[in-house]
Amino acid sequence: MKIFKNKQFYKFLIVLLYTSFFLSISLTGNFKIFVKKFYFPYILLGFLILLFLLKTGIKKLKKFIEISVYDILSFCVFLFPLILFIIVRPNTLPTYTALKRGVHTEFLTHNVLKSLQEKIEEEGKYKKLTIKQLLSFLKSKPEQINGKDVVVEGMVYKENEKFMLIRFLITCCAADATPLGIEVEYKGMKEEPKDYEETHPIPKNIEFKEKEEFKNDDWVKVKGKVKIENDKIVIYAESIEKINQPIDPYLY
Amino acid sequence: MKAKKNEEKLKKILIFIGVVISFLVLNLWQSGSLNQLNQIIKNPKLQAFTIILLAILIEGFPFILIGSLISGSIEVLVPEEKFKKIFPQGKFSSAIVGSFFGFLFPVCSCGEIPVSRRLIKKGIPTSAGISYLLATAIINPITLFSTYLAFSSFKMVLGRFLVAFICSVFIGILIAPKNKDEILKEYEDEDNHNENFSKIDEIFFHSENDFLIMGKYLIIGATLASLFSTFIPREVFLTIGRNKILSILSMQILSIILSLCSYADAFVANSFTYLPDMSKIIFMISGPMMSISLIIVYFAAFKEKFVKKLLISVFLTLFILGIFGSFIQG
Repeated sequence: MKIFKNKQFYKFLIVLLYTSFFLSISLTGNFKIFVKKFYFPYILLGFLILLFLLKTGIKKLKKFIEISVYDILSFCVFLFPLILFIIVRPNTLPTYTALKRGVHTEFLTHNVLKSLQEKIEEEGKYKKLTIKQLLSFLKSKPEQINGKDVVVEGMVYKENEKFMLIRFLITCCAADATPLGIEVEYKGMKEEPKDYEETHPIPKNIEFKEKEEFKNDDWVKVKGKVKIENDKIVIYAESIEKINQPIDPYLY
Repeated sequence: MKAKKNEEKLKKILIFIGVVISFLVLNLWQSGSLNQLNQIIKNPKLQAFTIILLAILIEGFPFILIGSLISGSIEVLVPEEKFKKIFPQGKFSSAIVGSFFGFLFPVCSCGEIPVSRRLIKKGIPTSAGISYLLATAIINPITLFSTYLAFSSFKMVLGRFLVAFICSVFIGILIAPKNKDEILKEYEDEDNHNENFSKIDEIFFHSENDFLIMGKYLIIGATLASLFSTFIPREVFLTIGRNKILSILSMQILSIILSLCSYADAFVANSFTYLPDMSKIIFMISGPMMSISLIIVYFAAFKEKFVKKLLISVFLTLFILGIFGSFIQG
């Protein structure tokens, strides 16, 4: 088995493995877990260059260079991320990251106008908004959302008895993801003051699910009324239901 | 002889590690803990670590590949005299030309390392190579535009551009040696020519070499960056940041451990609300010049002594420029 002692063979194998890795994340769309959707052309370009390297690698196989321990070590370095990818089967950036990065309840980028111009769909009486859109409204036209019925999707994140809805905003890749969040309150969440019914705009006779039912990182759809309190958005929920993770887990 | 001895030693260590790991796995399997593997996998820390690591790699590999391809093409297609004609030979003027070279080869962080290594090898003045290496990720149209998008302020774009320009030219002049051999690390089978190869084959031959060397180091760098990014809370750095001088320092360190892409770091910098503008500018320059993943790749391309000199001088220069700038700003 002379080929297993040939350094060129291992070089070829690395290129082959990474070519198939790039192919598989492009075909399955899995790359969206890691980088921005619009990054796809770069991945494709990388894949093409790898294909050419593969061709060169085959030609180089004819030449024999004996492998050293260092080469095996660098082969292992290249294997490491791929093995991690296969075993961990990453899903989406967990809300644990939000804890480490700090949740933004205000939108800081000045470039909010674009997201305000996006078309807003409606679901019954509810306006379908993303957390980014809500925070953009909060920054530039808060009066347009205060008191409105909305439906928002996001991940559950509990912090100091607060129930928050989180989405990650991405500029390039998951390393720069910024957690955007809004607070959600629902009846029965904490001990209610006596005048709860008067001060909170929740209709009566709506059954809320037990709060224990929602764990961190669960994807949910919240329907309710927006109220702006202390320059922050709070949604008074009328219903919260579990949903599947969206195809594009991040906001751009 | 010594290398051979070291190799034997390494072999023994590797075998030992292998034995320990297989013992552990057997032990886990016997005690039934392996059934809980599913839970270990779902652990949010492991998920976050994996996603950030792979994100940096998936983002970096295409650029390393493009960079390697450019580097390979330069090696094979461009004759040495060509570059000598383009670049002025004076240290100062060539460093200035080098820092604007990013408009010509706008390869993002990681990609510029193989390109600048090859440019230096091809005989451009070393000061130009160094200033190109430091400046190109910042002084290029895409990065400057994304800085404008994040802050909508020309002041920040100008500040980022100016400080990056001053820093890269200064360091290009300061640490450039006369002889390029003092900078470049030698690759073992680089000059391994084969007559049967066509020109195109030869380009890819060099590209593969560059990719495999830089790629390996990028993986190590990305692993470190991802570990830091997963486990260290950002708040630590932002609270230190209230003090003017400390805020410059803490932003430098934060940018090193976060390893963000230079197209994206402006948006992250903008989210550090309470910090002075100068610290944000330093954050956006220090990152593309010396983030942890870049540092590791520098060691792949250049000699150890040179990289150490480069890192120390960039760190100190940025620190001094930052303090100077924040006093001007008031």
